Amino acid sequence: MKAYFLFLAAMLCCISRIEAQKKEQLDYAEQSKFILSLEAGGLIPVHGFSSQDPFLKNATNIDKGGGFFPLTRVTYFFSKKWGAEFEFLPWILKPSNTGQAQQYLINQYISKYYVNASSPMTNPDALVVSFMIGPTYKITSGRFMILPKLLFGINSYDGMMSNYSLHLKEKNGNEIIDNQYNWNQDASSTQVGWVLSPTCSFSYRLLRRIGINVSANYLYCPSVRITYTTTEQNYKLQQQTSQTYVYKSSLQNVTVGAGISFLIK
Amino acid sequence: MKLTRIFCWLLLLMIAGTIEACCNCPEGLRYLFAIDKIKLQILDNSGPNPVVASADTLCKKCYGVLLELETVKVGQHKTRQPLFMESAYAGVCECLSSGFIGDSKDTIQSIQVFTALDFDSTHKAGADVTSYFFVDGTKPLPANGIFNQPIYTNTEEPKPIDYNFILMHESAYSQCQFRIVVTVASGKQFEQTTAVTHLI
Repeated sequence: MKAYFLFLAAMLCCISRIEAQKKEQLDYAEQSKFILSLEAGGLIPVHGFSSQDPFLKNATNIDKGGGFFPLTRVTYFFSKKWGAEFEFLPWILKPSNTGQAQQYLINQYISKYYVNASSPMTNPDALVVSFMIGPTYKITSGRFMILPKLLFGINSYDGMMSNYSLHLKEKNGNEIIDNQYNWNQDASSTQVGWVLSPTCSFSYRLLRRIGINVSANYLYCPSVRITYTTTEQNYKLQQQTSQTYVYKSSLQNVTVGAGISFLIK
Repeated sequence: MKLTRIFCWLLLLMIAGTIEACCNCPEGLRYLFAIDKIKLQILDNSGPNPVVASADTLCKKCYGVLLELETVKVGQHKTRQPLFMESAYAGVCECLSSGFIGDSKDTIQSIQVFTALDFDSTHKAGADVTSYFFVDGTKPLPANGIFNQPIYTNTEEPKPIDYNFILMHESAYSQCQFRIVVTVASGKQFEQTTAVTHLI
């Protein structure tokens, strides 16, 4: 009988301890001031460049899908529910279709000229880096945590397009023309644009301080501006002419990612 | 101290080996070439590249002249290879395998093109039409004919030097013929006239 009571007391003690730990864990999520999240995932284009220029469509990869890694979020909660988040999101876009872009250019001249097109430089994967900041709200339920937020910041576009060159020789004629198609992305080859991103993260805490999370960002870039210049060197006329084309459009993408998060009190 | 001495001796041996290798190169020969004569052929530039015309009829916009400068060997002199010239790394000294250097003696001072037949309303037979021709269709021949270009060949035996002169203006008539005069630095002149070509 005595042993039975002792066992019961021990069980009660354990249960109360577990419950206390559970409560402490739940409280920890409520009380944590910092959350650091690392994620990787994919980028899905929703709305691309509105330009109908077939060359631009094929030569750029700004509106193509891709991936991102490592998305880094640092959230600081200045109250129990409200906080501010800083997000660093580097995207890597799929390369542009240089073959199709070049073929489009060739097709413009093929009826009148023999076209010799040097192969365009392999388009490096474009890197777009977003730096965003905004308010976030914490909703906790057991081990689950939901963090809706509205982020705002800047995008930095870098190295998206290849340059093309065509050597044209007139059919049944002596005219020779060299055409260059060069992308102008400002002096530093980097362009900066605004980005607005309503985002939601869902987190499930595996341990007291560590959780797994999935998130979805809707990225709205209201004004993306890219330009290219064509330079025509006509040897017969001994003259060089240049023309610059400027394209402005909005971009909309959705990112979906998963990763881990660390809670710091 | 002993180790330093050993290194010094090894270094001296390496330097001596390099000098020995470089000094053992055979003497080179520098051949001198000069223009012997010129030859003209009509070019058909209707395709992607100019080719020697096989017929005496060409389209008006596809005419060109191939100027061939035939060279002869006019002399040679021995050349000595400077020490270490070929040595990229210490202890290695490669000699020129063939032992000869091609060189030129002549400089083309001017090239002038005259029309042998009436070309257009402003260029009657005998008029200078040098500026109507572009080298390879891209670089205009200077109107005054001053060319100032040394001939260069990197072969052991003389070989012809070619220039493609592409006619960038259309003749107003159905026939054309040109006389080309090449003057070299020594003052010697070479002159040739193309065959009459029918233009369509």
